Amino acid sequence: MNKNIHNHVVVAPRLKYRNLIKTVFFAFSSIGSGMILTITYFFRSIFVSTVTMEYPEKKNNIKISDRFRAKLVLISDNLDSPHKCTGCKVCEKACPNKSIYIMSHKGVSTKIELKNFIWRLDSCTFCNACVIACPFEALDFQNNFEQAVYDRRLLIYNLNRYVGPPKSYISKIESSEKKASIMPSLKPYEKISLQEILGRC
Amino acid sequence: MTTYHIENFANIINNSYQTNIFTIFAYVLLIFIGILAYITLVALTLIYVERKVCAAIQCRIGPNRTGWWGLLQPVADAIKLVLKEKNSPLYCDKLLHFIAPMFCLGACLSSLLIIPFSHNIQVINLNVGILYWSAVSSLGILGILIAGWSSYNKWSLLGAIRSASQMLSYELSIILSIMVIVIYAGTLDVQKIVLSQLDGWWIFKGHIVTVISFLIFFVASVAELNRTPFDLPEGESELGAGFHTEYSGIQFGFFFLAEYINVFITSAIIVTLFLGGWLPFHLYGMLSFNNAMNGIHPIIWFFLKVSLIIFIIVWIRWTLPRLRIDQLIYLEWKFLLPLGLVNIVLSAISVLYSFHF
Repeated sequence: MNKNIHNHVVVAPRLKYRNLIKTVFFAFSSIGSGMILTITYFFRSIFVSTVTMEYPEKKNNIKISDRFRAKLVLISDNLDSPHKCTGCKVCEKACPNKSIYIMSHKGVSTKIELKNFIWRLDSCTFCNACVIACPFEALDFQNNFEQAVYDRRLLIYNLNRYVGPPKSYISKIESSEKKASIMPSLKPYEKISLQEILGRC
Repeated sequence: MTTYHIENFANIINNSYQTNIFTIFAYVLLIFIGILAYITLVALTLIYVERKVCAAIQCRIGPNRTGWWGLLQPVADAIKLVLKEKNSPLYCDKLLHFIAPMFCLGACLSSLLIIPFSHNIQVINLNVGILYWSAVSSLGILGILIAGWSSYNKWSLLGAIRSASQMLSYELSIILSIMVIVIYAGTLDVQKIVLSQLDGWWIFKGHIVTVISFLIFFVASVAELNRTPFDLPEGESELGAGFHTEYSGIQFGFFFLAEYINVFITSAIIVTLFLGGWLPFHLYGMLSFNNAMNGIHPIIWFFLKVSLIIFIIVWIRWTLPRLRIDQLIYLEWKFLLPLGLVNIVLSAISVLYSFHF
C-alpha cells in the first residue's frame, strides 16, 4: 500500500544514478528522434510543400477535402434534372436550428412532391444532421467554400429548380411519353416571397 | 596558415590617433554607430531566421507580406516596438525599472567586445578574453533580476528569481567546460585559442573529453539564453511573460534585442572554443581541398559556423518542450556538474600525458 496516495503528497520523480546510463541513453535517443522529425518537416516544407495554402494568390493550387462542409445540395445529375427528394420533411425536423424549410404540394403523381427546398446558410452550423437524417440520401454537403455575399438576404438558398416526382418514381415508369407528361417543363423557379420564408423559418 | 597576422582593431585606432579631440570624438561616434548598426542587423536577421525556421518546422509559410519573402517583417516589428507607448506600473521602482533593460543590453554588448570575427577583426584582444566573457555575460542576470524586482509584479519577480537560479546554476557548467578547452589550449586569449586549432578543431582533437564538454557547453548555454527547453523565466503559460511582463515599447525591445544578440554571442563563443573560430575546414592529407578551403575569407568561415550553431539552437527551440523547474535544477546539479568535474580531471590527465592529437 502506497502511503503517499493517502496523504496526498506528490513526489517529483528523481534522477536515479542506478539507471544513469539507461536514462542518458533514453534522453539522447528521444531528443534525437524528435529533432529528426522536426528537421524532416523543415526540409519538406522548404522543398516540397507546406500545409498552409495561399488563398487569393494561388487559387488554382488549393486542395480542399471532400469532407469539408460548405454548401448543401440536392443530389441530381444537373441542376434541372430530377432529384431524390420526396418532400418528407425529415431533414427539416432534424435541423437543430431550423435552417431548412420545405414547401411541398400534391403533384401530378398524386403523391406529395417537393416544391421548394429552402436552406438558410446564415443560420446553418454545418452539423451534417440533415444529410444523416435523410432516408433517401438526397442531400449532400459540397466543398465549394466561396460563398461570401454582400447582403445577408442572399444567403437564403432555394436548392431545387426541378419540381416534380422524385427520381425513384420516374425511374419506375418505362414509357418516355408518360415520363414527359409527368415531368413538368423545366423553368426557372417562381419567386418565393422572402417574408414568407423569414416568417416560417 | 601561420601567415595570419594578428592585429586588432584597437591597435589600428591607436596607431592613427591624432591629438585633435574632434578626431577622437569622430572615431568614438563612428564606432558607436557601427556597433549599433551591427547589433540591429544581427538581431533583425535572427528574428527573421527564427520566424522562418519555426514556420517551416510547423509546416507553415511564415511572414510573406512585407517585402520580398517577408524580409522586411523584422523591420516592421522594430518600428512597431519603437512607436509603441512606453508604459510602467504605478508603484514600480521607477529608476530600476528604467535601468534594467539597459543593463541587459549593456552586458551583452560588452561581451561582444572579445569575439574574434577574423584574424584581424576583433574589437579588443584581451589576454584573458574568455574569462572576461564569462564574467561579463553573467551580468545579464543582474538586469533580469532588477527587471523582475522593480516591476512590482509577483509573476515578474517569480520569473526573475527562476532566471537567477537557472543562470547561476548553469554558469558553473559553462565555466567548467570552458576550462577544459583552456587546459587543452593553454591560454585564455581567444585569438590564441583559435590559433591552437590550426591542426584540428578541439571537438575533433580532444577525443571524447571535448565532445562531452561541447555538449555540456551547448546545453548550459541554451539554458543561459533562456530559450525554450529552459525558458522558465518567461514561461508564458505560467508567468505571463516572466520578468518582462511589465515592459512595453522600446524597453521590451531592449530585452528582445539582448536575447537575440546573446544567441549570436553564445554561438560565436561555441565556434571559437570548439569549432575552430575563423579557421577554414581542413581534411587531413587532402592538399588541394585544403587550399581551396583556404581561399575563402576567414570572416565567411566564422559566419558560416555561427549560422550553423544558431540554426541548431533555433531547431532545438521548436522541437523540445519546456522542462519543469525541479528537472532543470536536477539536470544541472546532479548530472551536468558532476560530469563536468569528471571531464575536467580527464582533460588534465590527457594533457599531462599529451594524449591528444
